[in-house]
Amino acid sequence: MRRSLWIGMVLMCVTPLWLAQAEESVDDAAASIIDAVAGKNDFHAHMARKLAAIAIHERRDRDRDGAREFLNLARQHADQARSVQEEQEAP
Amino acid sequence: MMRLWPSLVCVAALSACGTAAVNLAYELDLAKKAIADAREADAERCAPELLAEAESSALWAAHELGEGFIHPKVTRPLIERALASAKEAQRTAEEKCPKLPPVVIPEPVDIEWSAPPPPPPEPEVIQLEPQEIIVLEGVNFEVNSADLTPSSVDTLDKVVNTLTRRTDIRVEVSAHTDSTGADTYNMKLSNRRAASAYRYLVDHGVDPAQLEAKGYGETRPIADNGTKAGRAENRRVELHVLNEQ
Repeated sequence: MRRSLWIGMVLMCVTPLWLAQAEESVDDAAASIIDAVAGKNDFHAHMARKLAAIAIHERRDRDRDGAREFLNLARQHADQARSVQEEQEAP
Repeated sequence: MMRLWPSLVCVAALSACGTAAVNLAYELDLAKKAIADAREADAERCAPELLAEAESSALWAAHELGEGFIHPKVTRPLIERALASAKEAQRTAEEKCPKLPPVVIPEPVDIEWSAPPPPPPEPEVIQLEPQEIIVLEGVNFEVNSADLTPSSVDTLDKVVNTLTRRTDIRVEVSAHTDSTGADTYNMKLSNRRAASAYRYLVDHGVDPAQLEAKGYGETRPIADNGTKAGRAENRRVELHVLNEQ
């Protein structure tokens, strides 16, 4: 019984830390996407910025699935913005 | 009767919730239609930020609706923002990138090829022969765009010099793409590119009656689309001399 109580207490302490880490990783990922498209003004770069901002907003609303969904979409647009730039720079 | 009240209240609440969801879904459809119209007006190129605002707001609203908990106070402003941004994007695109009127292609006319001899060739002039097809080396476009690159101007100026001296020659300006992307998109892109080259030539003094513009999309490759070099070769603009003799 006492062991169960200990395990319960440890989980209660650790779970918020895990959640906080997950939340920080959403913010970090969104920030790196926004950095990656900094200075670009094509459609995909704008989409990447806006979707990353929505991901942060969803994370703050405690909707982690939604945050991840928008983060994935933002990544896809950032990739497209990068490939557009690479093709423009190609000889 | 008193026992019926809780049930009646529940039914009323569920019915109101369902009505709100249907209304929001309808409004979201309107916003999506406006986004499609903006894309049709080339807003992705000419009003990218407004179009991105519209699309991201619509995606967000769709996500909120899909969660099953209907919050009209949260979702409706997103839909309204999507709709307003899409309309603004369309308006901006139509102002910044007006569509050219369709190119009227007159019937080919037989021309006496024994016309006066051409003026002495000059370095900036291209030699054109009847029914010849010339790839305009150096005429390039930004990726996914119909904007001519600065390096294209030299080549097009030579075409202008040629056609303003040889008003008896009629040519078709043909644009081609590589096979990257959807067929319909490539067809539209090549039409826009052909129109862009056509507009440059007309703006610089070529008689529109000497010109036709046509996009062929990816239908006429001249090199292997499996390689980068081949794709670069396939993204091209050609002049087809239409005179038969």
